[in-house]
This record gives sequence, structure tokens and C-alpha cells, in this order.
Amino acid sequence: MEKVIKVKMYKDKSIKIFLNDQEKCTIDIESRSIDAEKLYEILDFSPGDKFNVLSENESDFDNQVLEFFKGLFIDIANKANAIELA
Amino acid sequence: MKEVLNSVIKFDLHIHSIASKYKENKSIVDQSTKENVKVLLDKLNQNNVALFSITDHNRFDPNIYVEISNILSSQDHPYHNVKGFLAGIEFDVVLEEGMAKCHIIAIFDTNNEVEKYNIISENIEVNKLTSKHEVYTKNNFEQILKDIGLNTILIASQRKDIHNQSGNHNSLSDSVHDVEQIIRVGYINALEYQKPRVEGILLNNLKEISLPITLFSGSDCHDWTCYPYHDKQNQNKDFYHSKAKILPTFKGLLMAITSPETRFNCSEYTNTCSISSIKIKDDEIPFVNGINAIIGENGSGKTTLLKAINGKTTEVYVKKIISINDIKVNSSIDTRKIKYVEQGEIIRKFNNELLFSKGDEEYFKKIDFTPFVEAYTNYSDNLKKSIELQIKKKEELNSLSNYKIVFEDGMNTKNYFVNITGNEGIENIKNPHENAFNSINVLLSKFDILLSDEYFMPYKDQLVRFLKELISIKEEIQKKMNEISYAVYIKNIMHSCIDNYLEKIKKQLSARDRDIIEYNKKREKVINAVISAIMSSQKKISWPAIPLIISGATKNLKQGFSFNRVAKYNETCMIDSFYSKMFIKEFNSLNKLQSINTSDLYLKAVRDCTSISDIDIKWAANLDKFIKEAIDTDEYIMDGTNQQIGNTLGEMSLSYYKFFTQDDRDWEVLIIDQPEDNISNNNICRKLIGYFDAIRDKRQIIFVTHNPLLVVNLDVDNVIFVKNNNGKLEIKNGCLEYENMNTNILDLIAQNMDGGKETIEKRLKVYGKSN
Repeated sequence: MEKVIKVKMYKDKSIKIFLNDQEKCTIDIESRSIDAEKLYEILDFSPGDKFNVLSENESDFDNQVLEFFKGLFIDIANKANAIELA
Repeated sequence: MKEVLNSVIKFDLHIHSIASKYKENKSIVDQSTKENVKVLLDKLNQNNVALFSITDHNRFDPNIYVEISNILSSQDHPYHNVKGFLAGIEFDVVLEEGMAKCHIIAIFDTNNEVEKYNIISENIEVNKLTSKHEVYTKNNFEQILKDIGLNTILIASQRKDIHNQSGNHNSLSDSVHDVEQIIRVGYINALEYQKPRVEGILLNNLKEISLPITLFSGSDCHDWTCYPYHDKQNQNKDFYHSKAKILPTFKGLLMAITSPETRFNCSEYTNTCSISSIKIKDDEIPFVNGINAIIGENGSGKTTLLKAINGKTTEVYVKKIISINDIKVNSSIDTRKIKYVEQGEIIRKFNNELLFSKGDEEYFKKIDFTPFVEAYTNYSDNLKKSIELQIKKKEELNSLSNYKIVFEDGMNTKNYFVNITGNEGIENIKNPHENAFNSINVLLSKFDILLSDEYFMPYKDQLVRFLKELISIKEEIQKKMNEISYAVYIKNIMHSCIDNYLEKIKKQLSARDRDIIEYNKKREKVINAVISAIMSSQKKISWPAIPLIISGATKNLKQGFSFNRVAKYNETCMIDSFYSKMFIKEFNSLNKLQSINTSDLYLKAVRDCTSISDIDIKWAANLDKFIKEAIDTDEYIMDGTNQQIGNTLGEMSLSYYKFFTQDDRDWEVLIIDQPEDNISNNNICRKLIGYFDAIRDKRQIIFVTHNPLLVVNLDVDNVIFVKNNNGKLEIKNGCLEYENMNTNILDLIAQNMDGGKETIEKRLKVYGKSN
């Protein structure tokens, strides 16, 4: 199944994560972190899933933060897409 | 020596002399006189008749007996086949009022004494029947016998079916309504027939009513010149003499009628290999090719004699007795043909569970436990893998919360070098095709064994086709295995190169570079944790199927017995036992085991396990215990009637004797010290005696016994009585009926065996003797 992960930064510099347009998680400005458990939940992996990662910035501020988390999701998505199940 | 032991002899207890003249119309007895006794003796000698009696109609002539006695006691008489004679009378008796008469021959125990002949003669004179139609009533007849006062054997004539009461045949059935009853109460000791076809009819009659009374023939010869025929006109060409295995004495006849199965119609011994005698100083004690029983008090030397016979002479006390008494054994037999059961041997073997084994061979065949052990070992291994996988899945999900990444400014800066991460992940990867490849190789090697086995030659073509398919599968698996191996090989080279590169880079790193590298490593760990959790969550846990019920029993048929060995797991579902041995009660089913998803639960579930690090050891130990208990075996023996033989010492002893007496291939002589040990008197009578009796004509048996049943009821052929007089052995021997001035075998048994007197009395009760 095609799944789109969208990483979007808002004007208040919070970052929301969407999976197929469904909001999954918010990374607020105070604690720009995310744990593995949350990442696992966001992907909600099922056999056959193929992930694509997009990003959007409402303002041009803190682009490097957005890029950081986008890059994180891209690396995870690449590895998830490469999973072959027996 | 020969006189002490009996042999199969012909006898004729129905011969007339001139004393029967008053009843005969013709002159058929006129030549059968005292003066012509030698004619009769000559005929008897020619016909090989060893024992005879002159039994005149209601008359007794003592002079004829005196004459016979004088001739046969002389040293130079030519009638060597004629060994003995008995006094007797043929009575005409009406046993029931209103019935016809029958002939009853009375044989008296006179011991050839003239006074006793005179007693008989006098009593007959007093009660003499004068006309040929006169008969004795039952009361008269009994009174005469009582007045004579001698031990007597009564033989009734029966010339037809016992149910035939038509009269005029002088048969017992003509004189009583219920022949069976009169025989059962012991009034009559034997039945006499004359024609062979009548014997057949009587045998059927008696079989129908299960009455083991003795049957024998009598010539009824009147004219001695025509012996064994009646007279010149009346010649029963079908007549043949009865035989019995007895001494030619009254006592011999008595033993025969009280044990007809062992004394009448017995065959000559076929066994030619035997122990013929034992010499003690100048005395030679014979053994017979039948049953020899050695009796005597404790410490009399009985066991020593057995050991001397068997060549087991290593013990000091045995050597001493042999030396003092100069004991020598005359034997023509190879000692390997002797089967020896020493005292206590059966108990020892029973306790060591060796009763039914012969050298390396066990009559109970081994069970191949491999299918069971493999099935449960595989189940156990797969169950363990499934539980551990389940735990790993849960642990990996739980561990995700330990990994977190925080954005740090500047950590994304590009380095001047290429940082390679994930090199730790290139580890030794297990080749997933390796197990399958090994399994198929094992299968192929077994195929080679099959193809080289002659048994499978008819199936060669089919096997070769299967073999080709297997080889093809093997090649496919091998190709896949080789691809993985090659990939691993390449990855290892890459791993090594990357390690070298990173090592070089590390030496040139600034502090900031190191921070960036560490940060990226942390990032990598988060990613790997997520991916690992995803992969783990997608793995399906397949729980192994419960092993099928497996057979675990062997059956060995041998000599009419079935030796059965059964494992506890035979045809039984052992899964519950498996769970209870492996796990505690809370986890003793598959459903409950499927709920184990943490190390704590795992530790709790495995029986007797107190530490996570010990789980593998404890698991293996529990499995081992389960298997050991499951492969424990029970043995039992079924006899020819498909009845299970009991496991007590007595029952097993009986089975032991039955078993090897039925197998007469490997031995000719059987020597046993106290076969009665651990066997009840009831079973001695009902079974053990039968086992020995079945082989008495084929094998030589020598045993020591304290049980009179094994002497008297078994009707042994030779009793050897041993007495120890300060180390010097005194021995007497003879058949049961043997007696002379110094030795009376029945008295020796009565005086020296516990219960001997009672056993003899019970046997002779058939005859009616009271002392």
C-alpha cells in the first residue's frame, strides 16, 4: 500500500507528522525530539507498504530542523521499503 | 540292578486252568493242569509275557501256584521272559438285584506265600459255587474278600459299550445300572476287554465322562496249548497283550492302576544320550532315561551328587564328599547338553531380571526408541524457538522507548570525509539454506544404504528415480546456499575494508567531528531499532504440531510363548506428561505457553529453573527426564492360551520350566535342584508335574526334591534315597513299587519326606488301601 509521510512545519515552528493526511504526531518547539516507539507507531507498517516522504514549511524559518526530521523519515522509509518478508 | 527299576512289560491276568472245568461244557481246560504248567510257561515266554495270573472261575487251586513258584524260583529254568505271577480268581457276581451277572477278576497280594494261597483256597471252598449257573451276590462276594483279608485289585470284564445293558456278556454294565458311579467310588480298579475294537469304544465312553480308569486286555486262555487264544476253536486273532511300565509284582500293578497315564501304553525312551549311573565306592547306582528323583534329609549329600553328575566340582565341600566316597559318574553325554538349574538360581535371575535371557540374547526384544525420542526432541526444540521468538518480539517493541533522537544544531554539518554507518550490522549471517542442505544430505546417505541392501533390490528402479529427484532438489538448495555464502563472503570483505577505513579516519578526527559521528551513530540506532521492531513484528510464530501417537512395543514369539516388552509411551498420547515434566502447572498446555512473551514468564514457566542463564540447561534436563520416564518399559509373557503370566516369583518359575521343557533342541539331560521352590503345591500338581511328564519319554530328568508330590504324583521312574553317615554316603534306589528285605521305596518316601505318607495314601486311596 502506498503511504505518504508528510513532515510539516507551522508558523509557530511546531512540526506535525501526517501519514496519508492523518495527523500522527506533533514535535513542539521546546523539545525537538522524537523516540523510536513513536516512529514505529507513525509508520504503522503492514507487509507490502511503500513509503514516500514529503515536507512543507509554512514559513521559511528553521528549515534545517524540518530537513533533519524529513531526512530521518526518508532514511527509515528507505529501509522499510527494502524489507522483504519471507 | 535291573530288578530295582521297572520297564515296559506285557502282562496277562486272565488265564484259566483245569480248576475252571466245572463251568465248561467242553474239555477245553483238560490239558491245563499242574503237570502241564511248563506248556503255559513256554507259551508265555515265547510271547514275552513278563507277568501273568491264573484266574479260574470261582475256584482257586493253590497247587498250581506252588508249582509255578517252584519252577520260576529255580536257577536254571528257561523261561527268562516270565518274571512274575499273581494269584487271582474270576468271580461270577450279580452286583445289583435284578441285573445279570458280571465277571470280576480279583488279584490278591500273596507275595507268593503258600499260607496265603491256602487262605484263599479255604475261603473259596467254604463259599463254593457248585453249579455253573450259580453266582455270588454282592454281599457274598464282599464277604469272601473280607474273609480272605488280603490286599486285592478288582478288574471287571467289560466287553461292550458301558451303556449297553442288554445282558449275557458277563460285563460290568450287565450287572449295574450306573457303571460310571461304581467306577467313581473306586469299587472297581480296572476294566478288562478282549477285542481291540472294544478298547476303542471304552476309551470313548470314558473320555465322555472324564473317567481315567485303567483298561487292559486279557486272553481268557483256557487251553494252554493254544495260548494266547481261548482254545482250538475260539481264536481271537486280534488279541494283543497290554503293556505297563511296572515291576512284575502286585505293587507294580497297584502303581499302574493308580497312575494309568504314566504306566500304561507308554512308549520306549527315545533318548540315547544320558547319564547312565553313578558309582560310590563299589556300589553302582543306575539312572534311568526318564525321571530320577533324589531325596533325603538336609545335608545328606543330594546337592553334592547333582554337582558331581554335572561336573560342578570346584567347591571344597563337594570335592571332599567326592573324595571320601570315591564318586565316579558314568556318562556318555557332552556336558553342553546338560541343562542345570541350581538351587536358588531362579530367584537370583528373577531378582536381576535375567530369567528369560540366554547369553546375549534376550527373549524380550529391544524397542527402538528413536522415533519417539526424535519426535519429542523436535517438538521441544521448536516449542522453545517459538517461545523465544515471541519474547524477542515483545522485547524489541518494549525497547523502542529506549531510543530517542533530539535535533541538535550543527550536527548535520557535512564532514570532509565519508562517514559510513551500519557496518556493525554486517555480522555472521546464518545461511537459511544450510539446515535443509544438511538434512537432504542425510537423506541421501540413507538412500545409499537402502540401495546396497539386498532386500530392496526388487525396488531398485523406483528408488533410483526417487534418488534422482532428491539429487535435483539438493542441487537447487545448494545453489541458493552458495549464493548466500558468496554474499556473506563479499559482505565480510566489505566489513573489513570499512573497518580499516573508519580506523584511519578516526585518527584524524577533531573533537567536533567525533561529536558529529557519535550523534549520527545515535541517529542510526534509532532507525535500526524501528526497522528491527518492524521486522520482528512481522515474523509469524508457528507453533509446532503435537507429536503423533507412536508405537513402542516388541513381541517375540518363542516356543509357544509371547515375550512382550512395552514402553510407557506405546500407543499413548504423551503430550500432557511432556508439559507436566517441562513446565509448572500454570503453563502445562500449549495455550498457556503461547502467552509467554517476557523473560520473567519464561523463567517462571520452566520447571525447576531459578535463573534466566540456566534456562537452556534446565530445559534440556527436564526433557531428558521426560524421555527417560517415557521410554521405561514393562515386560510380560503370554502363554499359548493367550493368558498373561503373572509376575510373581512362583508364576515366573512355572513359566520358566514350561518354556524350556518345551524347547528340547539344545539339551538332553535336565538337572534341577529343588524345582518346587516358590511354587505352591496346587501349581505343582496342576502344572509343574505336567511339564516334566510331557518330556519324560524324550529326555532324562534328574532332580533333588523335598516335595513328595514330585515323587509320588509325578510317578518318577527312579527314586534315589541318600543318607549321610559322617561324610559317607549311603544310597538306596528303585522304582516306586520296589521293595525287598532291606528297602521299601514307598516307606522311605513316607518316612523321609514331609507329607510323604499323606501323598502316598492319597494316591493309593484310588485303590482303596488304607495303610
